[in-house]
Amino acid sequence: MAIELKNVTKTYGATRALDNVSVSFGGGMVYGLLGANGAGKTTMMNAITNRIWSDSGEILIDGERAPGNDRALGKVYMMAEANLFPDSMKVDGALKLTRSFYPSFDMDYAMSVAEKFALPVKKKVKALSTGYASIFRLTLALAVNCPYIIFDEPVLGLDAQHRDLFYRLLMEKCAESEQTVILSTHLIQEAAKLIGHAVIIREGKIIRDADAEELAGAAYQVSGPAALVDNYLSGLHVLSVNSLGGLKTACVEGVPDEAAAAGLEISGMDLQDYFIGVMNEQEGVK
Amino acid sequence: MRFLPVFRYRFRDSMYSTGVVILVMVVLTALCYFGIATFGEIPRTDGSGEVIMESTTMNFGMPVAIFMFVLAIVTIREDMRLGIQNGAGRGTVFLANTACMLVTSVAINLAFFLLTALWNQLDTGVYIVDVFGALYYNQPFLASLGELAVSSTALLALSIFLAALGCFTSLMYWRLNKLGKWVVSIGIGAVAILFTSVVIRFRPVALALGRFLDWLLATPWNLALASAVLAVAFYVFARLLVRRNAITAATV
Repeated sequence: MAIELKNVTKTYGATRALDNVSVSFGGGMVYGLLGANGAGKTTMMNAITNRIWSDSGEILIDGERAPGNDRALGKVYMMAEANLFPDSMKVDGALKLTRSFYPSFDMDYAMSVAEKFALPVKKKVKALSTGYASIFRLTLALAVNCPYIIFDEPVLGLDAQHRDLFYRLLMEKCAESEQTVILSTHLIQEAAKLIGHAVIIREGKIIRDADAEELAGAAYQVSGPAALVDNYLSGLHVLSVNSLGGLKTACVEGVPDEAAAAGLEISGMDLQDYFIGVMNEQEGVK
Repeated sequence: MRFLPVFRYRFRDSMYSTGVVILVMVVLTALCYFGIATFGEIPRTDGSGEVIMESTTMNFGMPVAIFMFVLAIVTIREDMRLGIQNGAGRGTVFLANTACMLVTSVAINLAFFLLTALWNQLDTGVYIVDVFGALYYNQPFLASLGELAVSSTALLALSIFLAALGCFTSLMYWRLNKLGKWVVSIGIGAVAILFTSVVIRFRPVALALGRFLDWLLATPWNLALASAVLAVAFYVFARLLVRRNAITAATV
């Protein structure tokens, strides 16, 4: 049971937003969909939820073709940046409307989340600030209780306290349910503790698709005098290199060779460092 | 199927708008009546009992048809957005919106048919104008319940056609890019001018158009049939437009 994309391509004029993408999301875990601006993350999520139509390829939800299929699409809820509710609708009206589509929608939970965030439920959706508009949409997504939830930049405009509250609520939700979550965010470090599996996309292509721990453990940083670092790096898969004065820091994929690293400092990498390293490698920043 | 939630939402919203329109029309009719009664002249007779002047007020037909056109324009995109946000397929949302437009057309036409019939019963001497009465029965108002029913049926068909046209127009403009919108907007005017020139210049075209208009004005049923055919055509075109377009948020 999963969301499966098979050889999906989507172009906008000369731009290939998704280029023959094949990827799968399932297993009740939290996926981090990571990529720079314009990498194709939102296009992928929009294609899954049929907001846009892919040019070719297949999108399956639990084995059923998704586009135009109520049963398949009804298993996915996407919290997008764009507001698709009417401007004149009030927050509590939107909650009730969502409940009419999703019988598993938990109104009590939604109201408790709204209360925790101090979301004004009697206010019109269009009158909400950027932060509260995000809170409104994430409240819906947290309460909807369908098998697949997609969050596209869920913490946009949220202050640190509210971001922390959201991560905690999402963590609780994931712990007590079998929901598969796709989390697209630029704040990788903050969300890293939630992400079990990372999919890194660049220029419409999936460049990494692996467990987050595996990815973070698949590379390391080596730093020290430039000459020593250069000597150590020969023949290794270097993701990126930064120089500062006579010192150099390099991100290297693979397992560190402690013996060869005499006089150098070796340290592990977290998901964000790994992501930056891979992006720098792809863009030829050395 | 997620037809019902979309339909229920749209139905509630449309019935509210319909209620407002009915209320406004009734209030305006009452105001017109009191205006005529106070400052104008209610039917006079020449002493022999024959009416030599009658006063008319309001026309429900055209406002109803225009209301359906506007309602279809403003609701279809909203429903597509709401549906896609809540896991409903495009076909389902389109079907729900279309079904609701049909039900609303029936409801509002039935309401005004009953209101007109009731008004006629009040025997105020001031009559509600019926456009189709003027076109098909050579009288500005219809006192006969049968003629009123036929006129209302033709108006129902016209309302549904205009709803289909509204739906198509809204989706076409949603789908077009900026240049396309300009081209179509200017093009419609250009085509209208060109068509008029063609009709004036080419006699066979003028005769064909004349024959069609003669047929259309022969009986209200012909208008109903033409409206029904056009409604089906525009709903089919509209469905094709929304088959693969991007569902985007409204821009402020």
